[in-house]
Amino acid sequence: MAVFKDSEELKNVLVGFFNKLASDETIAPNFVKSKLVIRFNYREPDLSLTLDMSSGKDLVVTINDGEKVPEVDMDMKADIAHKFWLGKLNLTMAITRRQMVVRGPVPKILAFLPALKPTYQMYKDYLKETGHEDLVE
Amino acid sequence: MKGYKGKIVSVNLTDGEVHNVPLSEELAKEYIGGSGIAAKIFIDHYKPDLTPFSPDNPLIFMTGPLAGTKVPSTSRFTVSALSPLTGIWGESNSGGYFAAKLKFAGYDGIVVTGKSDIPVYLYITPDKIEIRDASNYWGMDTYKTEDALKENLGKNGEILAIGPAGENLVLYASIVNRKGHLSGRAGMGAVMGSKNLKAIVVEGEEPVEVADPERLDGILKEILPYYRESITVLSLRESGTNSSFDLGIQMGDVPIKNWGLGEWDKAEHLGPSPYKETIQRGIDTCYNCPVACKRIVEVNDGPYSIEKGPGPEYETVCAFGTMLLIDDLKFISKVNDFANKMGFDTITAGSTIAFLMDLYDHGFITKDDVDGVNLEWGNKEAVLELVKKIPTKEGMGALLAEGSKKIAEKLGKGKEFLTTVKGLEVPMHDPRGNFGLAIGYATSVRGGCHVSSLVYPATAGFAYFPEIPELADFGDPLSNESKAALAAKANDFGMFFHNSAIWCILGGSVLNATEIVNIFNVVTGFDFTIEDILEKGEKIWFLKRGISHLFGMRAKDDKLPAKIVTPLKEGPTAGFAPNADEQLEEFYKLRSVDSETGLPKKEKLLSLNLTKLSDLLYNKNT
Repeated sequence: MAVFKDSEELKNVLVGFFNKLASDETIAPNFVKSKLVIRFNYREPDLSLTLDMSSGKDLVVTINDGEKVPEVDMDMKADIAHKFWLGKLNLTMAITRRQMVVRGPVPKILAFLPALKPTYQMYKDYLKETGHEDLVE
Repeated sequence: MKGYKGKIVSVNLTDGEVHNVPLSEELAKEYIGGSGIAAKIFIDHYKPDLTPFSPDNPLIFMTGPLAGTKVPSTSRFTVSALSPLTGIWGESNSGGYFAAKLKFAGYDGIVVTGKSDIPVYLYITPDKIEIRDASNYWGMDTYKTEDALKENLGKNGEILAIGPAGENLVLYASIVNRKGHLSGRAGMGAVMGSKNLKAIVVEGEEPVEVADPERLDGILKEILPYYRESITVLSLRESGTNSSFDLGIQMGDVPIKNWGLGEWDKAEHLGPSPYKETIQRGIDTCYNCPVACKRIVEVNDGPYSIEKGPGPEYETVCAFGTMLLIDDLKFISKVNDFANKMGFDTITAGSTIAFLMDLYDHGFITKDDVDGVNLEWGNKEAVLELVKKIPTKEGMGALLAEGSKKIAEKLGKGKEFLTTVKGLEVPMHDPRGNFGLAIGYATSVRGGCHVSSLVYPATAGFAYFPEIPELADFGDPLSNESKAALAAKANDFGMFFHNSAIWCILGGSVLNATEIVNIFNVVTGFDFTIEDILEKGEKIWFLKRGISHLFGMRAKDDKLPAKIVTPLKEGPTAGFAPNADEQLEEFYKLRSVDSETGLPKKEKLLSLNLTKLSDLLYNKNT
């Protein structure tokens, strides 16, 4: 059974999480300094989320955005995305086995990775705060 | 027989005899190449009174059938002998340019026995094999030796050399090609030094013939795009072996403070971005390898300045960084440069110093025990002072030169701080975040090692062999389930893949098992299936392990040190630890190994046609 019952639930959880992340004074600066535009293309359920950090100042989240041109594109099932943000996904294995397809400049992606470290705990905390404790384990 | 040259150089340095020994098709088909064939040669040379530094200890350099061909990431060789560090089967595996050149000189391998009265080097071409006086080179570091030999002999040769560490029998001395390609682990450089063999020079231009060149070209056309598209390969090209550092920190793969700490806020200073910004000046590669994971670094100023040259690998960044709580890549580059020049293994060296720091921290030793050095965590000057004493064995260097296990034995205390399996310090990958590594380390034939089998590449995720179910589906990384079956097949396929054939464990990871076996068949003209290959790998694994049994290795030596399987209090793996004993019990059953002794059942050895090993083991033990 899929983690998220439909696109609406997926949107509510992840958009809320990214907005929380965008307003965090410790974590957000490490994200926005990448100046990346990252698009997550989720399926089962379907949703496209774009994180626009191109200004170097803000993190702007948009949904199903066909206008912005992402520098990094990531395709995956929503279940894989959930596992990733929980910090339980072996990213290398997911990419090798094509559970996740990543397109974009490898140097910038590698440079961005350290910014992710504190987000795993933040995602767990966010799920608990928003009544999604059942999704944490 | 294609792929192979069909000849091995045999040199006895005691009497100066040099022979050309045929490599038979039967031997090639049964033991493939690399350390597979080396293990067979070793057992044929076995004597009950053999010791690592006895002249009879055969030092065996072996290539595989793909070395020198167009197949990417396969021009590698292994060096094998009885290890002075562990006292059991020792082997080391290296890329660089030597393997291809040895094939071009007309040979698949070199077996060195005996001991010369004076320092010598071997000079091997298609027309001659000579033992030459190396007195003028003795005492030189590996960089100067390489430069001096090239100046005197011309630049067409490829050189393997030992440095002062090998000459002075530091138990984890390495062998170096082109300054940055090292046969680092298990002390093969010390065995070379014990024979007064300073270097080997090979020259030649004879191409390697393949069985079906047209079909090989077709396969290469199909697989070459992998090297342009694989994120693993692109990451390795971008940031070398240290490209995995940040992910490793997030997943709890990177050991910190001698495996005692789960988080360290300064670790981020050692990742791929600071590496590129502070020390990297270029990239380098091995013969015919499109991955190009080697780094060129330079430190222009300050106390750790070094000239442009080979940079530290991931293992060195951790062994002299996170393990010692040192967050300075310039410092690590300095140590790496020194270790390459002097010729010693940075994993054992760094781990040995981390072990001493733990002893110091816990009051087991004081300044007086370590030449007056303040061995507090993170003290760079103290570390550098000790490191400099290793190759010459000056003062504390004499003890450091023996590795951590022997130090603990000599001190008679501190064993709880060791990170060795069978005497070899485990590498920089933590089984507490990846339980499969526990059985991988326990059953590695040369002691604590992540590249002996395919457990690490499979569980880390950069290698994927869907045709071998045990290597593709091995359960939750934080569960003991399925790990024994994983280790068994990872040993079997690994003995073929990167030990005998010999693919680079990184460069070869873009291929699946079918592609690997196809390429091998197209080059050699053999007609093996994956099942055939797994059987041969199993036989090689039992042979190598059996050799260690002949030198006293038993089930107790398969145990993991508590230090690496004690749950951490913080970090991504906090509270988790594998149950290595449970994994081992299951592994022994799968392998027909007696769980009390660790010895293989006699009928198992006979079923694998390892008759000599069976006779030797069971005449000794029954």
